[in-house]
Amino acid sequence: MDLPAVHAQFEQACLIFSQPATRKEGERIITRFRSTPNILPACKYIIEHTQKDDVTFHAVMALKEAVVREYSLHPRADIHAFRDWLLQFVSSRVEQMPGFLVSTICHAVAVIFKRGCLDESPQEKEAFFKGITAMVNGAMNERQVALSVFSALVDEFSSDRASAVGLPYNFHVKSRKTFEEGELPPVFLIVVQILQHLMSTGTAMRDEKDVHLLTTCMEVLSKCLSWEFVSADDNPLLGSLAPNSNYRARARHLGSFPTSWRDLLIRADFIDMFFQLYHMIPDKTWRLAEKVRTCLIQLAGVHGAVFQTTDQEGRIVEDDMVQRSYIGRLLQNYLKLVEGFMASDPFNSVNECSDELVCITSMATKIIQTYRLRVIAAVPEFLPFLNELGKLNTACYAIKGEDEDFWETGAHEEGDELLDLWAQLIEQAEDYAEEQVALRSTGHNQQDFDLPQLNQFLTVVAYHIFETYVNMRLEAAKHSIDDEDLGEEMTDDYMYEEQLVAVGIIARMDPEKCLGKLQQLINDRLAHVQAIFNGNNPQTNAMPYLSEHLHWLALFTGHILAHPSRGEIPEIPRAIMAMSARCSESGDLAVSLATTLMNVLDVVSVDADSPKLEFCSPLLTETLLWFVERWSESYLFVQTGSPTLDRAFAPQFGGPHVLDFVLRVIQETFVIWHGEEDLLMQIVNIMNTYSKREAIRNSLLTSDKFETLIGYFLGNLDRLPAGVHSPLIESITTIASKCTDVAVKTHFFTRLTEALEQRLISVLHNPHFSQKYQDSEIIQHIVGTMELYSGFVVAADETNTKQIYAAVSKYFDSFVQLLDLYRNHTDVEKYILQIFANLIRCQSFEELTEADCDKLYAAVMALLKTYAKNTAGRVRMIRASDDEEAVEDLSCIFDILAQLMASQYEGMTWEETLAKRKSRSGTANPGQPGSTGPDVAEVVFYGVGVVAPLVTDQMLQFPELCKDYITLVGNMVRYFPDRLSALPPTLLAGLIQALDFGMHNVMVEVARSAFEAMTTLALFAWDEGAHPVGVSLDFLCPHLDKLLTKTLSMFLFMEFDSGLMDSGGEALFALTLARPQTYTAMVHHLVQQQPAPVFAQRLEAALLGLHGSIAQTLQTPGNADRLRAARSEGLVAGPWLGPYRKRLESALMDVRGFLRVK
Amino acid sequence: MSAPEEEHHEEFEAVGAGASETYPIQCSALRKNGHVVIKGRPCKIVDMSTSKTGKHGHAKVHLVATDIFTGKKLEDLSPSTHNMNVPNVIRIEYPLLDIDDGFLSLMKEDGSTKDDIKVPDNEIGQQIEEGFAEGKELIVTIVAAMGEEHALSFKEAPKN
Repeated sequence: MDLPAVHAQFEQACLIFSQPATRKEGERIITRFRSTPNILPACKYIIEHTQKDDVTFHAVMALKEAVVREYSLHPRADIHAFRDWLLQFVSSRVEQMPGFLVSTICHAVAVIFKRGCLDESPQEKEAFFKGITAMVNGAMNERQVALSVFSALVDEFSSDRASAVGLPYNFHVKSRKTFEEGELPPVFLIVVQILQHLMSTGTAMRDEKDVHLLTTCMEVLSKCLSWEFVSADDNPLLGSLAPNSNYRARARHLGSFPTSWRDLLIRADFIDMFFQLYHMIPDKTWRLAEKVRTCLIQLAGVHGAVFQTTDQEGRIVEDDMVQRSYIGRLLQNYLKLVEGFMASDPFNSVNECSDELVCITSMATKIIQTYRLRVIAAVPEFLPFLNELGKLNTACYAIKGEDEDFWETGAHEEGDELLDLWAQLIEQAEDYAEEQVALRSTGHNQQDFDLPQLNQFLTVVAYHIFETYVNMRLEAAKHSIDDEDLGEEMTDDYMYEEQLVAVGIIARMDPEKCLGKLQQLINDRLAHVQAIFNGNNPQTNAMPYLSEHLHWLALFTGHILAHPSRGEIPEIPRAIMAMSARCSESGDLAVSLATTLMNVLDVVSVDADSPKLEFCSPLLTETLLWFVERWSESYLFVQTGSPTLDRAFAPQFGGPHVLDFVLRVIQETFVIWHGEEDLLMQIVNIMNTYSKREAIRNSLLTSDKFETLIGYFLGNLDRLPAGVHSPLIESITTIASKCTDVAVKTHFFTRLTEALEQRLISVLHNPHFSQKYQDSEIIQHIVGTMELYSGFVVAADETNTKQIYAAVSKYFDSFVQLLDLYRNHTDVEKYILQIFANLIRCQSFEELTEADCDKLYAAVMALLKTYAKNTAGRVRMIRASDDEEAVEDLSCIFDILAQLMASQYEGMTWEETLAKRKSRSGTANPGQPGSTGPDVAEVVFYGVGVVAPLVTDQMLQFPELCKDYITLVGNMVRYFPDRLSALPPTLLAGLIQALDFGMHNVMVEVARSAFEAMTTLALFAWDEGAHPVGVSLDFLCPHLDKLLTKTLSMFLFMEFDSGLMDSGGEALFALTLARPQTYTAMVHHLVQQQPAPVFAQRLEAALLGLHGSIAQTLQTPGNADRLRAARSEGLVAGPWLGPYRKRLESALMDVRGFLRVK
Repeated sequence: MSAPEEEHHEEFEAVGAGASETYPIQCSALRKNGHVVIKGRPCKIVDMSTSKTGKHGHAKVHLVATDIFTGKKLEDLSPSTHNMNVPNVIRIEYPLLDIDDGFLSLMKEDGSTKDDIKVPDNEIGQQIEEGFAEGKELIVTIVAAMGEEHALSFKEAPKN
């Protein structure tokens, strides 16, 4: 090799690479160079001779790759010589080199060491470390390089920062394990010693080089403190090679140290050292300070086996004493840090030290979240610690000076962190108290700390924190109502949900005081509003502030008085019940606050033509209605057992009066705020909540106000935003359907259906309709009517299907005609399709007669034919910016077809499905009227023929559409596998392609249903193939082969969601059964591709073993029948598959470690 | 597939005669993909959002729309309770008979021809001319609104 010539070429390539215009070309040349065999001498020559940093960089990168690739081709001594030369090279020039280059070269050294770490003897490794240690004790430049090598080593062996060098998963995990057991502790120890030495010399902070050295030390320590020790999750099946994957699991492991680290970490002097160093740093904006802060936060979260010990009986237990002394030491230092911070008057110049504030709150969070209350509350420094946090929290929320500045500093965000911490602490104390009660009942009495004292303390703090937060929110009104940049779609209760929940928990520590405060504030603001409304206060520009204040006060009250609903009736919080029991007749704040807020609602519900309307806030009304909804769930028409609450809100006392009031306000809100969609949706939410409660529902149906409300809604539909049409009619229909009184129910249904009918007929029967159908007024009317029908049918269930079907089926023909008429108006199309999709999905087919079904199938057939005619020749352009709306028509049709099949055959065995299909076609006697219509199969196959050709890969990127399509394909192969051969080959290929596409969908449920469909299809082929007289399956084989290949590849080479193990494994099982020869051929091919014989052998053994296990499972008596029974489900669940599952798992564990590389 | 395409073309009165050109509707009841008149031009709404004058203000609807004839983007901001005009947009499909001096010759339902629509000066126009020159049977969709007419799209007539 002509080294100077190569060097010249390489320089040229780097030059080309450095120009943006020719970057690609340069990259190509460099990449080619990197993969050339035997380039080590050339790399060395270039590094030694070039004058340019970028050339050195590329040469080092090439060298790093080449060494790893060619490691086994060179004598080990040569490799070591190379490594040592690199070290010497970087040491000699570290002063002149830019930092990135030092780091790159040190990383190359680390990678070379890592490559050999599983092959080399302990002596060889020790020699390397001896060299580095010698450098540590050497001159300044050598010391700096040694520390950089440590830093690079910790990176390269770590789980998330290792370079990609084309080595298998197993290698990375094994080398990490050897490193953490071998080199990591000494590295940690050496760096701590350097640090201590530097600190003791006292000159550290004046010399730039010293500071740089200190920073590198802290960098290494911080990486050590966030080391992820190898755990059971690091196996070839679950483990991932991608950095930052499985973030949650990683977060759990972080900070967890093994027992062996106790002597290294759990030391008072060690903790002191970090704080001491931090105090020594003159300027807290230095990078060094940032690194120390990172370490401090990590120290606050140390946990795991490092704090465990073995008791007398040999059991592993938590060592409380060691933990307490560790936390105690930490808190002593922490308190000094906070005191120093507070003394520096930080909130006047927060910008400068906000990083310190973040560090302080993060440490507090870590401490509270990491250690159990039982342990931590017994530390003497705990109450002083909480006391400081309380002061800090108050300070964070105190708005001083210009409030714009306040919001920019971010101090309130740290306040929010602490707020959340108080809530956690209060909940922990409650849990602890409950545990103690339970323990005492079993005769145990273990006092870890003084709980009453803690509770007393928390009660006092709670009110202060609550008051501060409320004041801050009210102060902030000026900021938030003027804010130009309104949080678009983000509402306060969504954006500040965490804080509101926390405020609820905190306030319930002292409900009397906190609710009393709210009561007083609401009274005050309401009085101001009333004064403005009555003309007694000319300062009308205060209205937005008053609205904002009342908005927040209602949010607070809602979060304190009631828990959110999670499907069940939420209980009234215990603290509120207890307060109510303590109260006198007139003084129950739980009653008076709710009543006052409803009073506010009453005041702001003005007449539509009132001049006061100008001052009213739709957001305030929305929030008050939100309060009514949340509060109603726990209180309205509920027998609570509290005399004061029951008298006010129970059904036999004040409840009906309150409900009447709510209905009146809703009606008024409709009139004045008909243009505010969010507010109207809040009304829909109230209706939905009320529809779930029998007592409220029945009371509604006998109320005149409810009737008026429906009348208003139906009469003013065209003025209301489109978004509320369907949901509102749905909730009204639901309320009517669940009525227990038959007469009332009939009355409401007649009322609703007649109203819908009239709307439809008034257009259809208009003599000029055929001329005017394109007028926007008519289109508007039609679409609105379709939405009403859509919402109406969504409410269908087994109790009302008969009525709903009767009301809708009457107009099937009209709907189809409308679809035909509006063939050039795609914006009308989807509303018509939606009625059918919703009806078929929601109604209960058991309630329909055969004639009903026939009518429905005929209508769907006509609908599809019209749709086919409409879409013929239509060009559909999907742009990347489009949302799923653009393909909603397809989604509707997929849904219609899939649900039609499910409605007939779901839950049936294959024999039953066949029998049902036969009986249906048996009655289709062409001679008789009423039985000549199409059956489900005809409709489905016709429909698939229409829509499948319209689907493109790009459309399947839409998650919902993909999900619907996979469901459709799944049902096709489930119920009509025998008819697939009738499909045109390209169409069938398209359906199979969708399964292939679906199995990689990010939504696990989509991938799962794709696998289930594959299993069904494969079991069909296997079962039918066993009967020599059955249908020919030749058309299916290439598709099954493709699916088998794809499934096996996923298991062997890709990272996949562990939730797919079962369904994917079943698909592999079934596909292998159906195509055993293909499986064998694939195994042969894969084994041949393996370069290393030892891996080839392992792969072969694993895959053949898996095949053997499948064969064995099949031979076990009874299993073949089980598989046949599982055909139509696509689920082969059952313990009898256990041995196969285990085999699959162990096979993958065995081979995925070397098949996947990074 | 279905029977040969039978295109029924309803007889419409000329735009402007009888049917009103626009129809008022409350702003909040407009929909995305629907039509609206902005600055006197018939438009298709491509984006709709509500904003408020301050957090406690009354909703205003922000409309982004494109002129259905020129494709030009137009915007408007209106209180949600105010009325806006919606153009009556009529679409009719005609078989293309001939192209004569830059004008399309289209066949009406009654067999007579309609010769007053220009070949659009854009890609669609080019494609129509190319397709016609290749002897394809084309169906052209004419969109009419507020007194203007325009060839907006075309498709090949389905073959038997």
